[in-house]
Amino acid sequence: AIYKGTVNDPTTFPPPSKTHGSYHWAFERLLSAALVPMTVTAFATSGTNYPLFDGILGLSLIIHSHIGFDSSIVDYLHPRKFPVIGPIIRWTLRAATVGTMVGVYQFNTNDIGLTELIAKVWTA
Amino acid sequence: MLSTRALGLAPTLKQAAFSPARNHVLRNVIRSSITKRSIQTQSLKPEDGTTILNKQRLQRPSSPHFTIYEPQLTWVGSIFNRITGVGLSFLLYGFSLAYLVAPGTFDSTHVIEFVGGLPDAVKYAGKFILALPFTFHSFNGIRHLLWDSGKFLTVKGAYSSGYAVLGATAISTIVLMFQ
Repeated sequence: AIYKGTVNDPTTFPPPSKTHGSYHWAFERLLSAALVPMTVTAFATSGTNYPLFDGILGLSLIIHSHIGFDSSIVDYLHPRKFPVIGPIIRWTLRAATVGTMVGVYQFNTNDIGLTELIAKVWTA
Repeated sequence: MLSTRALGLAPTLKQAAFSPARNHVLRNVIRSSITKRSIQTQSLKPEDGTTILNKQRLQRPSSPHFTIYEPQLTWVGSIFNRITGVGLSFLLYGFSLAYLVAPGTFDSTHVIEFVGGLPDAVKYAGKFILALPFTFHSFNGIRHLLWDSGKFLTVKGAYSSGYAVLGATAISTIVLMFQ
């Protein structure tokens, strides 16, 4: 008989789910692949001429960063081993991502935009 | 008899053996010493087994693993990709949240003014510090995407693409530094 609930239990696995599995992987790779031509274009043109493109680039960068941060949390602070700080850091990340999206929107609307800022600061 | 010593019965039995005792005195002595043990017991719940085991596991030593693995292009490149990505993301998040909190101090004119007023050496160092992670992460990201499409999935392939990424990073960092 296999006894459950003792100290010799193997580790748990998350339930199989396409949204957290293959779809997540595919979305992450598609986004990273899309960032390559977008970055090249950002170097070529300026942000003020194409504000919509600037916004899409900013949004893609933020989502890419969020996925990267989330992978780091899964690797180093998994809730299975860190039942308290793991979820706390995860929700802090989500709040920070929302805040960053609002901040980038404000910056792109009320100010010159991310690509323009980087171009100007680089040649300041 | 080891068991009597462990149970604490040895002194009682010794006493009983040396006294001029008759059978019923010895029986009474043994009976009273059996019912009154001089050892302590502790009752544990089933969950305490896991707690005690985890406490013991925290104190156990572990062999060196991360400190002795020879630095190789494969894993050093991989962790550097993560470090550069996380660093650049911290910069993006930090600046956007700072702009959200204090748009007056972090708007473009102030930032450009502040950067323009720095000495040249600081500007070059700053460009290097920003260009290196950005270019390395971009080229290594392309390398990852190539891996995902099935290319360079051998040891030779990983090393050749790794050196290509390092070369491209060096060249593009120098180009960007002098823009």
